[in-house]
Amino acid sequence: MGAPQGGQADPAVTKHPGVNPRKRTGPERDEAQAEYADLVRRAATGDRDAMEALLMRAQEVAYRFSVTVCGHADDAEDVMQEALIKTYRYAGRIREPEAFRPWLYRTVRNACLMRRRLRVDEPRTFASLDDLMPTPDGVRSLEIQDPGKDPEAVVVNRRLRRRLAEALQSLPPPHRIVVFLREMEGLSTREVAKVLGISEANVKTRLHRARLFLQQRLGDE
Amino acid sequence: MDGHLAQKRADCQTLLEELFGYLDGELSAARCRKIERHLEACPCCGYLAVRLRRAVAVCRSAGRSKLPADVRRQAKARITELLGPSAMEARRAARPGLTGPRAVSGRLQR
Repeated sequence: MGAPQGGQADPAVTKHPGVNPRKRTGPERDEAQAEYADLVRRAATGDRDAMEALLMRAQEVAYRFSVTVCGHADDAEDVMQEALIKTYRYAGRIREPEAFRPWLYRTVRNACLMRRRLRVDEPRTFASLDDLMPTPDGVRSLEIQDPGKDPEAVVVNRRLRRRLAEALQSLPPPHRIVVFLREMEGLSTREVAKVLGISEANVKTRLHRARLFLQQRLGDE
Repeated sequence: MDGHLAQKRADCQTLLEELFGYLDGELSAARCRKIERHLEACPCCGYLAVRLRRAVAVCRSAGRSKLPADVRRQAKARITELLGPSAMEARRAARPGLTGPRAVSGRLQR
């Protein structure tokens, strides 16, 4: 491991140790969970806007999970449909609105697993996020927002995301799903543990290994 | 000299165990300051911290994604199918010939 060399600033990271503008802090994660819980409460009382927002979120989660974790955009439609119906049924009778978000991810995960079990020609590799970038021929894609408008920063970010996509492909699925839930979707360690049915210590161990792997794969660019 | 190197390795190992807690903001201010002092003094650990922080930032940045436009349209259509048209959609449907933005702009022109 060598020392860092001087060079251009990386737009994807902060220059100051310990001060990451994109870092999701504990309160931010709590806020996201509270937002979900509020939508669930309102939807349960017949608030149509809240129900619509909840159903859209459920489908968004289903799509991202299908594409990023399972690598099967083809399955996304079925998984989205299942997330939609189950959310509609569950939202009206949930007793603990705070439990909704882990329930949603668990439901989506199970739906994806069921789809995979139905496949007899499961590929050994998973779809690259890069393959899912928008293309003129309309390939299914995740539209990833570029944080800056500086063309150079946009290029660097795309290159980093391509590397990330390749690195995620190489991660074992149990580690990939932890990275997806914790880093990309912003769930707390406790929520990830609930979704996966493992201990919080196990979540942390997987996350730490995955981060060490990813920093190696992302390199020094 | 060997004792010094061994102590340094032990410090680095301790740091690695705590580095993730540091990056996630889970440590006390005093512990953070101690880690920051080590990161400034040890190029290898400082380098690792920079790369780990960047890996986390790239993941979080990639996580903020929107649905593709056609997928979003289909998702909205499923919701309408399940819940029925919203009040606004129902009003629009009740006015024959007034559907969508074109009809609205035509009405404004009159």
